[in-house]
Parts: sequence; C-alpha cells; structure tokens
Amino acid sequence: MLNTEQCADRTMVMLKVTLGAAAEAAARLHLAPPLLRSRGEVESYWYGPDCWILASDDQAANDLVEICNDALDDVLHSAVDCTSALTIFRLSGSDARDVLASGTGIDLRSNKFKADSCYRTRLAGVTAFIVANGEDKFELMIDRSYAGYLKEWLSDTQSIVKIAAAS
Amino acid sequence: MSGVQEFRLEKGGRIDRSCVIHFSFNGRRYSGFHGDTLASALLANGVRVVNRSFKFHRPRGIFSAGVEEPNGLMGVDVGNGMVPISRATLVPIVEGLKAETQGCFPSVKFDVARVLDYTRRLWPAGFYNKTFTWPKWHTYEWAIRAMAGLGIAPNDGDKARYRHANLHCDVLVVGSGMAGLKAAITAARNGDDVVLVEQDVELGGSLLFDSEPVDKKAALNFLLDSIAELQSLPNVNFMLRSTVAGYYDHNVLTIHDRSVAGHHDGPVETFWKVRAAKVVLATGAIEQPLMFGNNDLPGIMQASAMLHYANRYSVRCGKIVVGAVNNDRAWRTLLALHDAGVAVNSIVDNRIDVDANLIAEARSKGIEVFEGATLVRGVGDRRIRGIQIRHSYGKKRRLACDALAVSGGLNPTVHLYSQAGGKLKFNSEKQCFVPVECRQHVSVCGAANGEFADQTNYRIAKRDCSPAATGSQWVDYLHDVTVSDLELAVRENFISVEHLKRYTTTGMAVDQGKTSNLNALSILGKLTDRDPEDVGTTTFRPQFMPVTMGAIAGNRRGEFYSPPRLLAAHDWHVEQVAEFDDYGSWKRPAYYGSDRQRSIDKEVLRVRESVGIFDGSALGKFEVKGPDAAKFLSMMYVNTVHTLRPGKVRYGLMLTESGVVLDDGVFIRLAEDHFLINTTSAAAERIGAWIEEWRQCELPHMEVIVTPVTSQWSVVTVAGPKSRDVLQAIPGMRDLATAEFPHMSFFEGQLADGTQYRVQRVSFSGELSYELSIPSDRAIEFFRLVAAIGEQFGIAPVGIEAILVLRTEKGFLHVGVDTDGMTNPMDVGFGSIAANKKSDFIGARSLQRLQDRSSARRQLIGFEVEGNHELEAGAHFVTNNGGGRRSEGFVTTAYRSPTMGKLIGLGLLERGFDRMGEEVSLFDQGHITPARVVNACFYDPGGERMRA
Repeated sequence: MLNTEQCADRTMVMLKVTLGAAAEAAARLHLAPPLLRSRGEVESYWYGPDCWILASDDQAANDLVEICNDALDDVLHSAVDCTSALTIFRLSGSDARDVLASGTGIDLRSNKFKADSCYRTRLAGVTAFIVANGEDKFELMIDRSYAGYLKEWLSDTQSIVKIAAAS
Repeated sequence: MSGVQEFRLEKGGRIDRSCVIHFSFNGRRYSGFHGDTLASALLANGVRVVNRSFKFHRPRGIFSAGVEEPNGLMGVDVGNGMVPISRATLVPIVEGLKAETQGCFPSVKFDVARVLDYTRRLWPAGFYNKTFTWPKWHTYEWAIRAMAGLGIAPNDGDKARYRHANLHCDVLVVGSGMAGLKAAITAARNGDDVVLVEQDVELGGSLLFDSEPVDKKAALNFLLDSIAELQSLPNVNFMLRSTVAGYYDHNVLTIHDRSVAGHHDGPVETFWKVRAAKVVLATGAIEQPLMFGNNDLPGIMQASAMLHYANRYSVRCGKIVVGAVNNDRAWRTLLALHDAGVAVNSIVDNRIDVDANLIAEARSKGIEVFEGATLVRGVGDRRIRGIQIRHSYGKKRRLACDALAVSGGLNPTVHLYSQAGGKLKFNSEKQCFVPVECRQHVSVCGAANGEFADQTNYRIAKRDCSPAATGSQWVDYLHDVTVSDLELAVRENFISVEHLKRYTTTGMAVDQGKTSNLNALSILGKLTDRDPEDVGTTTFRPQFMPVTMGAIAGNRRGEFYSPPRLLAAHDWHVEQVAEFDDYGSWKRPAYYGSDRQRSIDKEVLRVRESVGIFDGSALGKFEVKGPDAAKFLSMMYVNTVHTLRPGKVRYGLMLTESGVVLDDGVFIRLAEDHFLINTTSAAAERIGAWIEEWRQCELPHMEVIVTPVTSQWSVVTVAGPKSRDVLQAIPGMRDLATAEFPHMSFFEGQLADGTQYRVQRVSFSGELSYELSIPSDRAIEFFRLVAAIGEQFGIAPVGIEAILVLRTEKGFLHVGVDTDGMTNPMDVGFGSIAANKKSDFIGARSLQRLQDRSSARRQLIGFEVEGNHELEAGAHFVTNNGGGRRSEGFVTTAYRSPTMGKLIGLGLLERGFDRMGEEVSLFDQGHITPARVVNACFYDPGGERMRA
C-alpha cells in the first residue's frame, strides 16, 4: 500500500554559506547536522556541506530569510526563497520503501535510514531529496518541473511493486 | 496430443502428478506435471531432438538440467509473447505454454540446412574470413546473416512489465545448495541481513536430486531443516527464480528476477542492483562433457543431469543407458542413477585405476564395466543408438544404447568470482580452475570452490580429447566448434586463449562456454605443449546468463524514457493549444495552433507588429553573492563585469578552458556584491555544475556563494512594440518609460497585490521586450493576467520556434546551434571584447594560440537566398577551387523569414567576415543553391526598435 500526498503549504528557503562558515552558521541557527533534518518551529534539512533548506508551515519565506539575515549578519550567506522551486511529496504505507527502492540506490533499510535522515540523491533519474519521516513514511523534495513526471512514476512503480509484493 | 509420458518413472520425484499441465512444442501438444521444467517434460514425452545447431544444423538434444544448457534453447511463450533463446532447462511449464524451435527449416526433425553439416569440411573456423571474398564479402553477407543467429526477436508488443530495484544487505549468498544454505544460516545466526538468491524455482541446488547424506542427515532432511531455520529468522530474505547476472566493483551485483514473470495480473521482471557488504558465492560446479567422435548426438547427457531428471522430475532419459566417465565421482552418480530406477547397462572409463569398490558395486548391480576403454564415437544420426569403444588391448566394440551419461569431471562455476576480479588457478588433481584470491569482499564455498571431492574419492583422468576418435569431436555445442577447429587455429598461430576464442568463437554466445571452455583450454594446452595453468582463461564478463532487454531498461521507456520537465505554466500553454516539443529536458511550446508554419509566421509577425507573450521560464538562473562575486564572474565571462552598475544588465559569453564558446546569457548586477546570471535553458544544469566546479575546485579562495534559482522564478517575456503598454497596465508595475528604465536595465519590486517581481529589459527578438519574473507558484495566474491585459493590444502567445526565427532575423547567437566544438569568440564577432578585456578569464590563454587567431577560420556570417529555394541547417558552403568540391563551412540556421520575405540564415564560413557580398554555393541534399554572404544582422541593425 502506498499513499502519496503532494504538500503545498510549506515555505522553504535555501541557505548557503561558504564552507568555512558552515559550522558557525549551523551553531547560530541550530541547523541540522549532516544527513539529518532538525525538528522545530522552523525545520532545517541538511542539503549539503554548505547548504540547508529551512522550512516552515506557518512563517512566510521572507520571515525565514530575515531569521537567516539576522543571525548571520556578519557572515557571508545567501538565503533565497525556494518555495516555488521545490515540490514536496509525502509517501506512506507498506510499499513506500519498495517504491523508492525502485528508483534510488541509497540504503533505505529502516536500521540505516532512520527517522529524520535525509539524502540528496537520484530518484527515477532525477535529482531528489529524500527524508525519512518515520517507519514507512518518507518525504520527497524535487524540482517542481519534475513533479508531474515523478507523480506518474510513483503511480506506475507502485502498481508493479504491488504485483511483486502479492506473489 | 501425446498423452503418454512414456519416459516418466512410475513414482518418485518432486512433481505433482495430480496437476497435469498441457503445453505444445513445435505445434504438437504434450502433457507434463506441475513441477516440471520444459526440458523434463519434453524428455518425459520422449522428445529427443529439441534444436538444431547454430552453424551446421546438426540435431541436438537436452544435455543438462541447469544454467549450462547449450542445446535446449528455444522460443517460449507463456502467454506474454514469445521470448527467444529461453533455456528449456530453466522454464517451469505452465498451462498453455508454447515452445518452438527457431532457426531451422522446415522442421527440427528435418532441416535442409544440414547440408552444411555434410559439407562441413568447407566451413572451418573463420571460413567467412577466407572465402566469400570475391567479388566482395557483401555479396554473400545477407545469406550468411540470414542463417546466423540463435533466435528470432519478437515483433509483437511486450506484455511484460519491467522494474529496476535496489537492495542493500550485509551478506548476499548466491546459490542455495548445501554450501549456500550453510553460509546463509551462519550469517543469519550472526545477526546479519542475509539475502539468499537461487536461480531455480525452489531452494536446494543439488540437494533436490543428489541423495548423498549431508552431516549424517539424508539430503532432503538437511534441506528441509535448513529452510525451516532460515524461514524462522527475520533477517533472511529469499529470492527464487533470480539469477545473479553481473558482479561489479564495490560488491555491486545485478540480479535478474523472474519470480513473477508469469503473474496473472501481468508478468513482471525485476532487475535488481544489490550492494552487499559481503558476498558468498555458492554457485556449485558444472559437469563437463567428454571428447569423442559425434559426442553431440541427442541422447548424450551429463550423468548428473540424468540423475537430476530421475530423482527430481521422475524422468528416465533412456531405456538403455550407458555411462561414459573419467572420474570416480561420476561412478557414484551412475550408481545412484541405477538405484533411482534408471538401469545403467554398462560403464566405460578410460582410466585403469578406478576404485575397485566402485567396480565391485557396479558389477554387483549387473552393470558391465569397461575399464581402460577409450571412447571412439557415438553411433547414430538424429539420436544416439550406441557407442563404439576401443578396449585397452586395442579391440573395438559397439555398445547399444539410447542414452549416454557422460562425465568429464566438474568445473567450479567461477564466472561471478572472475567478474568480481577474482584470480583462478588450475588444480591439476581436479583438472579444473579454482578460486584463489579476490580484491573484493567475497567468499567462495562448496563445489564452486572445488570442494566437490578430494583426491581419494575423485581421481579424475587428465582432460584430453579421444585419441581413437573418428568423426568430429565437438568442443562447443552452442557454437559448433570442433577439436579440428582448435587445431586449425593453432596451426594459424592463434595460440593465445583470447585469440583462439575469437577465431573459433568457442565459449562465446549465450552459454559463455559453461560446458566448453575447460575442454578448449585443455586441448589448446596440449596442442601448444602448455599446462592449462599457462594457457589461462578468457575473461568472464557479465551477463552470467542472458537478461531480457526489457529488464535492463526497466520502466525507463515510453513516457519514462527521458524524464520531462514541465513549465510551471504548462497547463496555461495547453489551454492555448500549444504544440509541445522537447528542448533539452524541457517540454516547451513550439508554437500555438495546428498549422506549424502558419502559426510560426503569424507569431513572428505578431511580435514585430504588436505584442507577443512567451514563456522564458526555462532560462537558467543563478544568484552569485559575495565580496568576490564580480571578480569570480569576471573569470567566468569573456566580458568585463566590474564596470557594470547595479540595476544594469550585460550580455556575456562563457568559454571552456580551450577557448571554445560554452554558453551565453545576460548577467545582472543586483547590488555591489550580488549578481543574477542567466544561462541558456538547455544548459542550465550543466553550466550550474561548471560554475560550482570552478568555485569549489579552481577558485576556492574567492568569497562567493552561488545559488540556483531557475525553478523559483517563472519568466513571462512580453515582446513587441506594444509590450510596454501591456506590462505598464499591471497594477503596481514601476514606470517602464525608456528614460526611467532603458534597454539592459533591471528592477526588483512588489506589485500592488504584494507579489515580488523582477523585470529586466532585454531582447532576444530585436523588439522592445521585457522579461517579467514572478514566483513559479503564481506563473499560471500571471500568464492569464498578462494575456487578459494584453488583449486590447492584440497580444497572443508565441512559441520557441517563432522566437528562433526572430533571433535569426536579428542575428543573435544561439550557442550550440550557431557554434560547434571549435568555435571561439573571435569566430562569432566577440574578438575585440576578448582582446580588450584587461583581466583574466577562462579560455583567455587558449585564444592566444595562432590557430585560434587565424583569419582563415570559419566565421559566423549571414546569408540570403533569392527565390523559392528551400534549405536545411547543415547544408555546406562549397567551392570548386583547387579541384573537386570542398566544404568551406556549413549552415547553422536557415529560415524563410516572414519579416524579410526571403530565405535567410546564419552559417560558419571560412574567412566569412572578409566575404561580405560574395556569391557562394550551398550544397544541400544533392542540390546546389546560390546564396549571398551578408552581415549576420538582417533586421534593425542599429537596434533602434529594442531601445525604443
């Protein structure tokens, strides 16, 4: 079983700093450590050694940018709204892991890809950011231009996985 | 229909006799039982000739019971379309299965092409390289190609679905025989995640037919206990009907999984990519054939395969069975076969030191024994009817039989180990290659490691061809290679094993020499007076077994073949009846309407005369920020960056280190330390990576951050004399008058409804034009808004094709179309900019080369063609100077311009800049068209219109 939900009402900001300032920025803004997502009113996803995605269900993108600007006023940084750039899918259900494993080579075993883990990788031939939300729950962030394709791919793959799982 | 399975034993086997299954072979109906393979069912029905050989069309029968089968290859349809070269030994029968022999005419029983067999002295190895050379090879090629090939690719649609999947585990165990089960249990007890892969439909390997006790338990009891324990452990996964096809670096293996290939909801094949911390190969060993004359006759089978068919499928492979072996282990197999109800009449062994106990046991069962006897030849034409042997004292004798169980000893199945990079060593005591060491984390156990016997109970004779043979001795059944072919190759000095393989084709094709390589190497060793160790082996490569093309492709076909990128306003374009096409990875509106040329012309004129709306969202966009931003971009672009003032836009050209034009686009200074750069749409990701590479690897000392914002912003391009009127009418839009907002300016603000927007006044059409950027979430809304406002000004959507015509009329460069892998900035008119730039930039040094500065290079020019000629990009500028026709360059772009009313184009022409006004000839698809060289800008050369 797989439930796919497209999540629309979430603002996101991409924060980039220079590699040398990454530790300082992470400390000041309580950003997520490598390969993890931090929870809170403003969530942060580790997107790369010098990059995070800050996300919120309540705050406007400009507010998130302001938070970054205030905390990093003396640190070179770039905080830009990426709400429109990324599409979020939330996947859940017993087939979710198998569907994802059809498109990505990362280790999705529950003891390796634990809750709040996140990887930036390739899924079904496109760049994707995969987050473990909990047992059999995942979040996908992809470039909005691929959203239609990925939705179709998830549905097609699910129907194949279903046959394989039923055997 | 043949309802009597006359070769079925009365009892025993792992088949379900209550479940009768009907199938057909070459149109004739047969029956078998649930649990049968196609091979076992055919043998049970007495079908002996199942195929014709590849080259000589000799009759061939089932030889083995597993992956090594070289003969039983046929087209099989289980209701989902015919799959060619399926191995009958691996296909479980299902109701309605249709099998057919491919590549013989008119039937498998009588094949006219067997005339090649009767004349085979004319067709030795490599005959096609030596004969058929007059008048030329191609005269005969069609006939030889028509006869070659092992199967027929299906033409009908494929009903199967295919999936790629990934799997990680701690231990991957390949093979579920005794060794595999023990390895899996050990690893699982240790708490490791274990995946046990078995190519068969059930676990057990040789335990399913070999009754030899294991750990003092009956084989089947050991199997059942092992399966029960593994099933009780949560950390073990089983994969049945799954063949490990390839073993790559970093312990990555591929598995072709056909476990649901016959599913009633539609067949699915999965191609797994497994990443295992450790791999255990328990792939067993393959019994090798013996060399003697006519050793390929139907009815000649591996001794172990006969035991397999008897014990597992309750099939006797003949009524009069003779054994011909060269090792003690095979004696035990034959004795077990006898005990299983398949009477063995006699055993022939060329050794004289056979274990006396085995001889005594055989004789006690009434089996005649011929010790020290040499096999001469198999007797028979379309099936074996007897064998001729030569006693040790020289006398020949004929033994009647309808089945011959042969054993030339075992050879470990080391293909995967070798693919992994494992080294092999020849073990002369066992006359086979065994694993030695491997750089990867892999273990080999059981028969695959040569542990099928020790010297005291194996004692195999040295591998050799029969010294008394008459008739051809077949080394490679699948490719029809004989001992005399090997001798010929050696005579012609193809003595390297790799050369021998290619010259004779031994070990090639779908069985990859599973039953031929070892004998071929041994014979090569003997012919060249070398030990097999010195001869070596050929390289084992994936795939271990054939994998369907569909499985390799997975679901990356049809709409998933190339992931399409859709514009944020895609649905609006659909509403506007856009005709979409692929531009890079994007699906973008090519034009609007049903008549392509008419629509494009109309859209061009719309922009020239009133106003058009175009979706420029795919344009690559990157923000570059930091105190060194200007310095960094100055390295990226040929153009000067630091003189650009905030709020201003400049066109820039990027080069590779070789000075070749890489990309172009505008860059905007948002603030002193903050830029926004545009790249071409198709190259956005590639250029993003290029910039990052330079930032991280070459210029890490620069304080700069690059952030991609391509998808965040959608771009509504409004172009045409009335574009200002349209945009100005958007509530909250800033004053767009030229005095306030001239050409090549940028502004960022907020509209009346609070929407953040960016607008840059740039033009790719040559008309007054604005690029309005708004967050992509609101793209559709804005396209609707601008279209509604623009209605009074006659606005209409414009597709890419019209934009390309517009830019051609204006002579604007389209990198990748008007440039190739050699074009430098001087060739496209940017020579003075490059020369005048004071600071360094990527490619600057390369532009100093004489070759780059030569005036004889191909330079971008415009050309005009009078009259009604048609022309395609790719046509060549040709000259007859110097004798013969020579190309002086080529057309990069050609359109019939609706604005100019004639055919115009751009092209790269030798010394083009110096040839303005010259009449030239264009060669296009066999026709010469006259043209005149002109300046590349056809329309509004002064640029008044876009600056208006």
